[in-house]
Order: sequence, then structure tokens, then C-alpha cells
Amino acid sequence: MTFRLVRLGALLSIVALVALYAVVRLNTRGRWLPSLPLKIGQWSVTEMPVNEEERNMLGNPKLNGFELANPLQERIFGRIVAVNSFDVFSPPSVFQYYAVTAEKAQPLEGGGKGLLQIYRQFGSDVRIAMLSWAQRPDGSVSLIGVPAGASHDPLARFNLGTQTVFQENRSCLIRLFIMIHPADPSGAQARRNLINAANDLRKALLGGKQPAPSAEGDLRISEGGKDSEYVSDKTATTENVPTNQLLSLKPGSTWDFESVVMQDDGAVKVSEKVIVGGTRVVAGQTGVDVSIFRSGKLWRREVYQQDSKGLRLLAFGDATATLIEISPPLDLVNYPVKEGADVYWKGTLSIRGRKLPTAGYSRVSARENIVSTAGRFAAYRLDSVFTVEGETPTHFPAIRWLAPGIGFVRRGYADDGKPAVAQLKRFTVK
Amino acid sequence: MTTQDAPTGAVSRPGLARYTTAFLIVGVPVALLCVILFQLCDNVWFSAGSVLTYQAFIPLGALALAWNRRQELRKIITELALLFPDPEHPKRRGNEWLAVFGALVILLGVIISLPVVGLIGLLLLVIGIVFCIWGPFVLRGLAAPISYLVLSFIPPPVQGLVGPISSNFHFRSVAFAGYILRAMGRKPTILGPTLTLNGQSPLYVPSSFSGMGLLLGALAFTILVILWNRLKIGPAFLLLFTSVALALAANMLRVLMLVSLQNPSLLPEPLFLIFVCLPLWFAGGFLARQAAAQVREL
Repeated sequence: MTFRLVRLGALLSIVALVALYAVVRLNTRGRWLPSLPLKIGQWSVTEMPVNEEERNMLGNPKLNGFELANPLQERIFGRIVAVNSFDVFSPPSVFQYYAVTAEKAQPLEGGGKGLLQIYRQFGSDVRIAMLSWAQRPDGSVSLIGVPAGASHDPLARFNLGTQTVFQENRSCLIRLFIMIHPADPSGAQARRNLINAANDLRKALLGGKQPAPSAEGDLRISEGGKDSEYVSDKTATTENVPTNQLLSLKPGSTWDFESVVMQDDGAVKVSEKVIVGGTRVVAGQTGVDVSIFRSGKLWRREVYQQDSKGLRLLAFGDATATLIEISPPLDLVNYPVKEGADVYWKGTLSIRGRKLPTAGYSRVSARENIVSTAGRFAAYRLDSVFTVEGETPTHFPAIRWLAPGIGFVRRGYADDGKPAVAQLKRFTVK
Repeated sequence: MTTQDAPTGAVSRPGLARYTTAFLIVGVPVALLCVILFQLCDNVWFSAGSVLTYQAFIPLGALALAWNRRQELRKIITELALLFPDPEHPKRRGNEWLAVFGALVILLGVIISLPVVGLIGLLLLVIGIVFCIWGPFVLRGLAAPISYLVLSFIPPPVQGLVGPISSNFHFRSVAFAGYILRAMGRKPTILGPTLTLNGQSPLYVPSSFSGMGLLLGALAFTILVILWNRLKIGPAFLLLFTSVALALAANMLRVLMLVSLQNPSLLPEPLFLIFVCLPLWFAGGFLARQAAAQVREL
């Protein structure tokens, strides 16, 4: 046996032992994962198990999958993954057939930046927006490894690996992603949802403590891309509208609609007329009576209140029953109108003397161009839901498109549990 | 007085002890590095839907090729021993630095969590150990197994290349299954990887049915067959094309079988049987002829 062979064996043994040490450290260091609260701001949290394929792709780290839902039941999917190697930066398995078409560094509340990316499915227009960042126990954030290109950057990989093996580097990768609805122009609402959820989640994970300052670092993010309008600040900027009167509530104003109600046996068309009546006092508050007629017969009544602060709903009911009173008035939109602005409300519904605890949520989701036989209107889409709380909560969702100075130009609502859409045909605004 | 020499080729007891010690000194750290590398590649090779599962079997193929060439290697070693009696002669031994460099590359692969770097390290380690223990001539004699390792072990960049191709294969497999079903008078609706038939609930064809894993595996196996049989370039290309065609046909068969599980009424249809049986018949016939040729050679 030669000295050379012994030397080879000794050198290989040293390298093998260092490699073994590195493997053990990588597998034991990266085990930190913060616990997830049940409610994060406006978002309710549901744990969602992560499938085995994705676990394997990420290198079997410690991780949590979850789903966030807001009062409008819009859903954001999330992952919190303990960072133990670069494998965890692989995209979730749902992105297997998607390519990144735009990205930017997105500032987060409390300092630091996350990475906002748009993924587009190969050969289709299906898009997903994802916001990711690496968070440390002190709340500071970092983007080491988060940018998609970083997985091809050997230096970034080496830095992360050596930090995990030889230094105390505990962090978790947080990812939130949401499908962009085709009706969401440039994904503005999806992006607002992601950013709100990210800020709420970061605060919730810190339990009210102030986050430590985050180092900016060398982000190496390629700003822009094919879908750059989907990450552009222009589309996300809240817009001050020079109007404070979305709905004309002068007596005699009328709107004629054609409604399509989806019944079990197909779509049914019905004509509707909305007429603004006189004033009415509901639980000490003065509002304006708005009656909705279907095929010439009174079908529903709603009482609105509007001033320089906003538009509110005081009561509603059908043709026969007494009105269901809302206390305090349910805020639908605050003036001046801002795209993306939302309003929370908590109160009671009074039905024949019974008081039911109720929660409401309303949001100016987008500014859309609505085309109908009555014309073309630039309208604000107002998504709202109010929920009668109880053992089995009942949700009353509604979508109203309101054009400044004109009022309703389209309405989406549930007619006895069936989806219905009303399109404006004619209108007279006093 | 006459003496009797030990029979030629037999290994004396001190020699055996020496070989065993050498094996332990070099073999134990190499085995440890291989286990670490296996752990690094585990997710790439054995994750659900992985297209690189075949790589786990490449070392066995390389060992088989080395075994296939054992007579030539033995001859090279014997000739070298006769030509250069000094066992430390540079023609019979190399230095150890390439092997150590290979081990360091494996360590780097572990730290940066890149299996491909680890696999390159393994290649360098293997080449380095052969070079260190047996020298450059034996290394040249092992060109075929080493080429096989290089050709089949270096994974293509998964995200950059295999991802889009795999997605393309996946969607096209489902679309082609749709053509076959239309030829059978059915009216399937295809939406990406989803196939809906007879108003039933949509059937999602998983990404593992893209056929890429089957195709890459078939190519790796065909390269092994080509090197084993030392085929010339013409027959080698013919065999490669055949294996690609068979892999694609076999994948189509898998997709059709998946569809038939949801629609058992398809099974007795003559056209379905033809589409399912033809590739099997061709593949079976081809393999049987190959096996018969091998048996005749023996």
C-alpha cells in the first residue's frame, strides 16, 4: 500500500466528514417556523396540507400550507417554509407550467421589500400573482434566494449554504399567491389583496412587536417583463375622484334595467325599474326611499343615506314585509372615492324586533367601462357583502357598478339564492 | 534444491490484507460521499412526477459497462506491469488531486444544494480515483463507462429547458389522445391537461404523463445498449430513433389507459384495442428480436 493511497484516503475522509457535517447542519438548522394565527387582519386562515410532490420539490423542509379568505371570499394561497437549503426556493408545484412574465421589488409595511411576481401559464392568459419574502424571527425581511433568477446564481446559493452551515441563520420563506381574475384589469385588485395580506401576516407573525430593520441588500431583481403593467404602480395607485355623489338620490330619478336571473331551468329575463322616492326616517336616521319594481310590481325597497362623507344603506326589505333596519347605517363607500378603498362595518339587523349581529364589508374594487344599451359609462365596481352572524352565518353578497353623477349602471346580486345581473337600459337623473 | 513458486494470479495473504486495507481507506470515504450525494439527489430522482428518476440507475449501468470491458482492462494492467515493473511509474499510477477536487465539488454541491454540481463532483471523483490507482491507460480503457456517466448523469437544466418541453409534451400527449378518441367517434373536450368525455367529470392528466421521464430513461437505456454492443454510428442512430418512437408510443398508451379507467366502455372498441396493442406488438417484437440476437451471440 503506497503512501499516495493513504494520503488519498485521508484527504477524501476529511472532505467526506466536512460534507457530513454540512448535511447535518443543513437539516437541523433550518427548522424554524413561526406559528400561524387563526385570523390575520380581515383574512381568516385555513390550514391547507401541501401535497407530497411539492414537499419533495422543496426538499422536504418543515412547512405550512394555508389559505386566506377575506369577507368577499376572495382567496389567497400561502406557504411558510423553513429555509434549510436553496431547494425551498423552488416555486410551488402549481407553477410547474407557468413562467415569470414580470417582477418587481415590493415595499412592505415596517420596512424591507418582498418580491412581487406575475406567473403566466404557457400558452394561455391565466396569470397568478405571487409575493414572497424571507422573514427572520425578529421580523426583518430579506430577499436572499427569493428572486427566481437567484436559484441560478451560484454565489447567492453559496452564501445561503455557508450561512446556514457555519452561522446562525434562521429564516422562513413566506409566499402568498392569488389567481388573477380575468375581470381584474392589470391584476390591480389581486395585487392590493396580496400586499394587504402580506402586511397583515407580517404584523400577525410578530405579535404586535416592531420589526427589526431590514437590510436592502443586492436584490438583483429584473424589474418589468412582458406583463409589466401587472406589477406597475400606475395601475395600483389609488385615484381621488372629484365627485362625492355617486348616486343621484333626488326624487323622481329612475333607472330601467333588464335583469337576467339564472334559474335551475335556464336564464330568465325580467324588466326592473328603480325609482327614487321621498325621504324616510329609519331608527332616527333620515334616508331616501329607493323602490325596485319588477314587471310593474313593487319587488324590493332600499333606504340610502348620502352626504359628503359617503353612501350608506339604512334599511332594506321586500314589498310586503316591514323594512329590515340596519343599525348603525351600513357604510357602502366613503367619499372621496378611492380605488381599492374598503370599509368594515359591525352592527345589527332589526327584523320585527329581533336584533341580529351582522358584519359588513364593502370595497371599491375597480374602475371599469360598462357598456349597455343606455351607453358607455366609466363606473366604480363596489363589491360588498354583509353577513348575519350566528352558528351558520348567512352571507348577502352584492356588486354595484356606480357611475359618478348617474348612479347604478349595473347590479349583480342574489335573487332568492340565484345569481342575477341587471343591465341599465334607460335612466333619468333629476 | 527446488522451490515452488506461488501459482500465477493468486493473491497472497499479505497482498489480500493490503488490498482490503486500501479498499477500506479509500472506499469508506467514497461510500460516505456517495450516500451524501444520494441524499442530495433524492428529491430530484424520486419525487413524484420526476423526469430524472432514471439517473438513479446510471451508476449501475456504468458498472455494467466496466464489467463488460473487464478482459481488456485486465490485459492493459498486465501489459503495463510487464512494460513498467515499478508500480509507482507514472504510466501505472496518477496523482490524487483530481479525486480530491471531485470530493470538494461534491461538498460544494451539498452546500449550494445543487445536485448537478454534486454529480459533476462524482464524475471527477471516479475519474480521479481510477487515474490515481491505475494510471492514464486504464482510465482510457474505461472511456465507455465514463462517457456513459457523462452523457446520462448531467441533468438538463430542469427549470430552463425541461420545464417548457415537458409542459409541451404533456399538453400534446393529451391533445393526441383526443385525436385518437375523435377517430373512435367520441367527442372529447380538451382544455390544457384536462380531458372531458361523454359529459363526465373532467379527467386531469397528471404532469407525470408528459412522457419526458420515459423518453429520457429510454434514451439513457439505449445509450447503454449502444455502448455495450459497441454499435457503429448508423445503427446507433437507428436505435436511438426507435427508442424515442417507442417511448412516445408507450406514453400515449399510458394516457389512453388512464382515459379508459374512467371510461371502461372504451376497452372493447376495436380501434382502441388497435391503438393500445400496436405499440405493444411492435415493442415486444423489437425486444424479442434483440434478445434472440443476444442469445445467438452467446
